[in-house]
Amino acid sequence: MGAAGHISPLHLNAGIGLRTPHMRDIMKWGPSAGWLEVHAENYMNKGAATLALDKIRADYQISLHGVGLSLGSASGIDLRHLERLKDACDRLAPAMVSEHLSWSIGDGIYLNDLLPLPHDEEALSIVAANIMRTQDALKRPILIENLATYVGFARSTMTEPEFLAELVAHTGCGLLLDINNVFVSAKNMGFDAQTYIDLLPSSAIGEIHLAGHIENPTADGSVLIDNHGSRVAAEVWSLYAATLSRIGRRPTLIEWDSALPPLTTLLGEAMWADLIAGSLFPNPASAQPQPLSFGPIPNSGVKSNVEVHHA
Amino acid sequence: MPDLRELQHSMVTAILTGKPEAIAAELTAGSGSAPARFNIFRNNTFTSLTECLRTVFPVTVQLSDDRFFSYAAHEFVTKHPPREARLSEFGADFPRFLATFEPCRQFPVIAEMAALEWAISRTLNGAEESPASMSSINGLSEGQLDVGFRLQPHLQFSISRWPLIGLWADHQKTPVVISGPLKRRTSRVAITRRGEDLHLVDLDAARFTFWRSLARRLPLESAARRALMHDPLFDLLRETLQLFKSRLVTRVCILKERDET
Repeated sequence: MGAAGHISPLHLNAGIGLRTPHMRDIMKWGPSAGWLEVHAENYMNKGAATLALDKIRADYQISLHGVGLSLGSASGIDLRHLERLKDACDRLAPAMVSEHLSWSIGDGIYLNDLLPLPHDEEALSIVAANIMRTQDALKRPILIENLATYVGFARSTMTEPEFLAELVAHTGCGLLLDINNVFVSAKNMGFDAQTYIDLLPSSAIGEIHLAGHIENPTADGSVLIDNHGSRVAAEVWSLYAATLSRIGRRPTLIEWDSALPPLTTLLGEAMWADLIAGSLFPNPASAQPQPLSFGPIPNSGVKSNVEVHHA
Repeated sequence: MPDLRELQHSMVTAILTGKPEAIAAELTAGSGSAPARFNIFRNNTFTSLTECLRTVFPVTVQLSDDRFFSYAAHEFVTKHPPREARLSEFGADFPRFLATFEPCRQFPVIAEMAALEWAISRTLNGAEESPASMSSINGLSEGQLDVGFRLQPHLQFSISRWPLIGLWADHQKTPVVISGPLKRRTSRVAITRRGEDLHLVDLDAARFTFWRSLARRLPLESAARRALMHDPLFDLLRETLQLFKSRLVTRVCILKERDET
């Protein structure tokens, strides 16, 4: 483990994002899916949905995907929220835990959106400290996901792949590569998507996300919106295939959050992801989990100079 | 150059006020307009939080009209944005907000339906503990006045001058379990669940007072006295047995201090 390599615990067959309306179908039919990913914040109580997930996880590997930790908050992370995330991890025993390179809490207000950060030394120091604090609390490395970008910052001094590579080096975290987000960001900000992926430390990529997006025409030309409300676009499938060719097969997830279709649609998209991966790696031996280079957590002797925010 | 904390403060302000021009100099947007692009975040914030409220208050949406609900939700999000990332906690103040929201003051049933739906949401997100067995009251001595019941943590109550329970049931896509007669009168409702199945119990004034007093951890004797004020024929034994039978009692305990506040 660690320097010797870390095996992704997630199944290589593609998983799907599990949303509440599909829970009954999952329990009733037990369909074939490599694994299921849930939003951590939806299971931070002892309610009916948590009870249902407890039953489901007996049959499926679970990945816990946080959307509210706000790792980029300059005021620090909410320690009570971190404690709730730890409780969810202890209860659900997820195979993987992930969060975003973003912030969503400022001035004590939760904006329920994933907001971008400048890529500079100050932000790097803050995000790294918050990731270390999280990994210390959870006692495991986490994966950090790249955002879909609509704006950048004039103050940035490094590219996003450079920023992510620095985070991996500083914290021992892994990366969750959202290929749809790369595609959307590349179109919106005018960079080459494949080059972006080539610049990432590939051995740190522990999971891939695929989702749909929409094109929104504006007076300044069209902008792509990462809405997770449609099938994966053909260009994104192509980028996925090119990425696997370069980095090898990785656990892959189909995300769908808005205008939720029948469960069979998600399963069909997951099957398509498996077909692409299978065509690239026909030899089952070559499809085994790849040694990854993230984790274990470096000793967080690094002290954060940020205050803890109690939302 | 402002530090990251100041930058984030400016971004929060721009999102809530819809005035991104103040931070435009900080932003780049490829070939697009940075303020226009920044408004995507404002749109995402308001749209997703409105959708969250729509999910928790579906019948309130139907009663008030979809466009009106969107308007009310937008005003609510502006004035009461969430303070934490667990969205199951977001919306607690929405019924109170609607009760004083000028455009719907003439339709108080809207705010009261929202209160019922918030109670339902609390029940669905609340814990279901193992029920206590009836035998747990065997050890109590006759005339013991300081005994209390712990009820299911998910148990919630709603009271309204409107026949809300029928109105709510009428707007459900799938049939719901409702105990008790449906009448056009003030509705007093207890909301419970068993697993994922929701139960709405229509109670008269005496039973409602008894249940709610116990849920507020008053001693059995105080709860019964309050119920008897509503109905001199209130049957304490029958009601106690009913609570056990409904799996609502999780523990029988001796209260150290009497708390009737």
